[in-house]
Amino acid sequence: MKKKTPSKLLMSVLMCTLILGACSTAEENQGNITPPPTEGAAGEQTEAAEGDQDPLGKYEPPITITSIRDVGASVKFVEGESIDNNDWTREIEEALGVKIKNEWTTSSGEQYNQKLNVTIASNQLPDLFVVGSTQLKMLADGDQVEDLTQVYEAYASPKVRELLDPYLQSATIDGKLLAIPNVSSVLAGTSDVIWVRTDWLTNLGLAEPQTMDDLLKIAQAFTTQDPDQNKKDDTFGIAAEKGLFGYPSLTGFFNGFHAYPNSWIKNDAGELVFGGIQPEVKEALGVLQELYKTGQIDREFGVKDTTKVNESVTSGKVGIWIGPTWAPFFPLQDLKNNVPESEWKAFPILSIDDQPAKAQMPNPISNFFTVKKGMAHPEVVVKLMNLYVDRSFINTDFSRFGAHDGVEPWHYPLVQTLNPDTDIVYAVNVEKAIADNNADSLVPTEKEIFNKITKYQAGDNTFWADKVVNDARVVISEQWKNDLIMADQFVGAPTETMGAKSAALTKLISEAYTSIIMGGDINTFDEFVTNWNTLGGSDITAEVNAWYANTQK
Amino acid sequence: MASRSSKSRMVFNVVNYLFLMLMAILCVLPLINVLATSLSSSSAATAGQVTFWPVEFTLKSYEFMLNKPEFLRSVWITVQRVVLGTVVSMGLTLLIAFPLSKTSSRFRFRTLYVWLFVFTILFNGGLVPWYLTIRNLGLLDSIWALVLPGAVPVFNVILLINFFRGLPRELDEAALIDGAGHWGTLWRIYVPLSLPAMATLVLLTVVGHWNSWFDGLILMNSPTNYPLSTYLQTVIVSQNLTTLTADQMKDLAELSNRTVQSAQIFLAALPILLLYPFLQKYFVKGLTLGAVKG
Amino acid sequence: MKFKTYFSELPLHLMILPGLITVLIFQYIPMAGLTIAFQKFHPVKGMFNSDWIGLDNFKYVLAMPDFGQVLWNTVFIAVMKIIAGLIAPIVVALLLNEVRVSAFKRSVQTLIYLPHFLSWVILGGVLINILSPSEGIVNQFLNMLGLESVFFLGDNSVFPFVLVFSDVWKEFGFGTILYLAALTGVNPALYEAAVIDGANRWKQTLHITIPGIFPIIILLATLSLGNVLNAGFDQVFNLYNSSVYKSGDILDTYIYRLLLDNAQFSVATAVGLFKSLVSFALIGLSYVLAYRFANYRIF
Repeated sequence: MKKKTPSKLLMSVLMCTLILGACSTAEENQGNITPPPTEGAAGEQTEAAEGDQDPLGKYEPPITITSIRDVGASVKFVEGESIDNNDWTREIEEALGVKIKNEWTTSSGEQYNQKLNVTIASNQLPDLFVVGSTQLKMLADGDQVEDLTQVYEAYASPKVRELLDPYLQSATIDGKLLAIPNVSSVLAGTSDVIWVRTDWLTNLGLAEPQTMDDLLKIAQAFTTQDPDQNKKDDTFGIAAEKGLFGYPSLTGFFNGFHAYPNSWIKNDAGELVFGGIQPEVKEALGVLQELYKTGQIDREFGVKDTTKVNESVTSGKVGIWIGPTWAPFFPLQDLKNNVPESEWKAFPILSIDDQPAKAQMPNPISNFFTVKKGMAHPEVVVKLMNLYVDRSFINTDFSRFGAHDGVEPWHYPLVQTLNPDTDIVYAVNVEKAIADNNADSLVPTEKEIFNKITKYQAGDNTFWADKVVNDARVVISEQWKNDLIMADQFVGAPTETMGAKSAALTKLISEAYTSIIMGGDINTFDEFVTNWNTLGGSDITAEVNAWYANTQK
Repeated sequence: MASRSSKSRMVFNVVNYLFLMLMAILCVLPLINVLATSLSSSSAATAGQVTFWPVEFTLKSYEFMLNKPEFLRSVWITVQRVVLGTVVSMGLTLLIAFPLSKTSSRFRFRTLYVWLFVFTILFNGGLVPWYLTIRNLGLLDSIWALVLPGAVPVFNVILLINFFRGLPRELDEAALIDGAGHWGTLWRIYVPLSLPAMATLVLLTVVGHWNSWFDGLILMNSPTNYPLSTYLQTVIVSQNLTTLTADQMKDLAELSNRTVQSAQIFLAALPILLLYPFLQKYFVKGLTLGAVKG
Repeated sequence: MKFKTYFSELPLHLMILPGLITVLIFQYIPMAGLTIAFQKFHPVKGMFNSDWIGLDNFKYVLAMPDFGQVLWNTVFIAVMKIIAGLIAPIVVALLLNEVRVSAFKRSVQTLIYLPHFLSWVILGGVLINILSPSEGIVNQFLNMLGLESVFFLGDNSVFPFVLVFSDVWKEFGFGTILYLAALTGVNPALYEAAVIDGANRWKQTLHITIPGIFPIIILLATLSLGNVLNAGFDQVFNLYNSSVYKSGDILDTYIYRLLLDNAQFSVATAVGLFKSLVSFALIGLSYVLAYRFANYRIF
């Protein structure tokens, strides 16, 4: 099924070129990105290539391209403006001569996905649009999108190269760059921290946890020693939901045992293996089983989804919540509104032994910008990215593009990108500004946060979440700085067998883990590993390693 | 009547009434819970503290829903689709059920037609061909896209056929003698006699149109054209939180509101609650059936 | 002579015409999409040019791990729902029919229709609460009776029954409306005659009421046969969890998870076609049997 591209050698050379180029400018990154291990291709001497076309060349006469958008509820506009009429649309028209016409819009991400699937299947594609990785694979299989390798090479600005080159792998299928990746702020968004209710710690006279053992002792205390002092035995230690890795997540718990479920990690031999079948997972499951038996995890967690689990938090029943840095927004703030004395603090992943634990970080690329096959100006996607990056990182204009008048213009542009640590960087800057009591050097987004925290410090509890979230992000930034982040090593598009078998494998994992936690024989884990491999896991491992080997060339 | 049977009748009545009352209460309790949740504060609702009475009474969730101009617009769209859709559907249902209720001897091909229609509720080509057909007819973003594709509710047609067949054969003959053609028979005799059945079908059709949200999502290109149920759908939070983007997480924090969800449910159920008792007076027993004998 | 018959039937054909055209356009034309079930569908090639792979999609579905179990779950749950879903509304309609106080009757009618409007997203949350082994009302009640708590939503032996019971509770109001409407069509003269003959209410119910609504019972039963592979995606999706996959995972939830990870339209269409064929066979069979043995056309 795989077609050999005519100039595969040329492609490899180009790839190496791009990657080398990225290496040399890595330190200048706004956010200290460590490129994933696709760096260091040995032996190639070519220089970082400068595109030979004008990255911001204006179209004369102006062109109109079609697109589709999701305009969610959190996107607000100044009176009279809309997604088709705002500062960014005007800028794009003025600077590039590009007008974007939306064929349809939706008002929630879920709706967007549903309509997108119909759009793709009925081949009614607009010129330029956003997709997820599954859809990208669909489009690749259906040969419905342009190969952007050449135009990226020719048009991408140096700053864009700097930001995106490390991630082109995710959008490359069969050696062709089929989309421009959109990097999301995944450290603040998805990596876990351990939230602990510190007012309960105070009530019980316990110290803050430094290790996983401390945490386990705290979980037990929360369950048995009536930390809310209401004379009722109605509290328990750690929150968990029925899918295990959703929200709240047990990923952070596993990470403390150096286990990385649902992630691909490198073993000692330099190969990629699936984290979910490693022996460390078995150890963690054993501990979870103990917790379940003694009621330190809700004995009904197996039937409770996120909304139900949130109830335990907001009704003050649970003291440890493992989740991303923004957990206070949802649901911890609700508890704060109810119970002002409640206090939560974020801790980094705590280790079970003397080896420091690492927080798992998934692939930062979950969205892609694709161009319909046969479209007249495929380079427009690169130019739009160039423009966005230029106005957001180099020639910034916060009066128009920074937060103002209650709107956040950064939602508006179709083509945009961040860094995996964007929000983390903001948090660190804000923290410094608070310590110095000086907000002068902050950009508008940071200033917003600074103002909210100041209000909280003046006594307004509705901004409590902003404060603790910021603290949590500082915690993660420490881990990032100290290389305590375990990035998912597989950042390519879903492989053939992944597409066919991942539903069955996910079901297998779910059933196996849950039954062990709820009391099943721990040794069924070994059986599970065998099954996972037979059911398609070993095929997927082979494909992943083939991909990996390819990227190392 | 012997006193023994009236006593057992009384016992039966008491038990019956009690049983039905219990059942009715069981059925309405969740809706009361929903209503109470919608009138409670967000923190109380998320903590699961609301049972049957609002906790920290507030109208915030209703304000939130009603303040949006999209809400009122979507109500208007739904009203249009309900009215147009019900009129068109009921009209077509009557027109189809009448001929098909006749026996094969009086109407050849009747069974063929019946199966032609029944076939369509058994087999369908899937979402994409359906979408493409409607699109190619230029109906996207038009109210007719919400009315025409489902204009023949075959289930309703079958129900009405069944009902018509239950009407006495003498009616047809009497009508024939009076010189009424098929049209006359249909409009002047069958329709007036079918009020209970028609009331039922009107209710089913209205409910169907009111709650139908998926076609609104797929066939309308702009949220300004969404019917109410599609609009309300955006407020319900996705179950699958592991696939959220950063933007969606922010939406979640803002909207994930048990109270708003509850307000949505309640608003969706309200019109039917108001409509149903109104239609019930047509379910009167033995309506004019006696007229035939005369 | 023949011409005259056809001519007199012409108005009938004309009456059907608008509906027929509508159905031809919006239902039959899209049916061409069923061919996707036999193709390796390629959106760019469309349904007329995609590769023909015959029964491969079906084989793929049959070869999926757990397919047998999932299919069994689907049939088991669906059949139980059909049976219970048939009996409950009939019983309630008959009971309501005995109520003379019109206001009471109307209120009950309205109230029992209400659960139909609650989505399974909401009802899922409600059920988790009331069925909770530790705090749920149902288990508290069981405990009062000296019975042990049952983990309704986490126990494979109980889960399917929870599905059936809660679904019947949600939808029986709808069926009751239909039967009540049908009951109004039973000739009151028959009852008068029966009373004269000395039949008590129970006998009347048995010999007049039930036979009176027999056609609609048969009709609804036959149509519901068409649902034998639709065990209720919405409900199961909101209530299930990995502890009860064994008994609760149905065809539609399985396919849904498959599509999430790799939108396979061909496979989904194949499964849909499979379901349609089974429904068609069952309904067709009932129709033929009723006609052959009772000379009765169900529709």
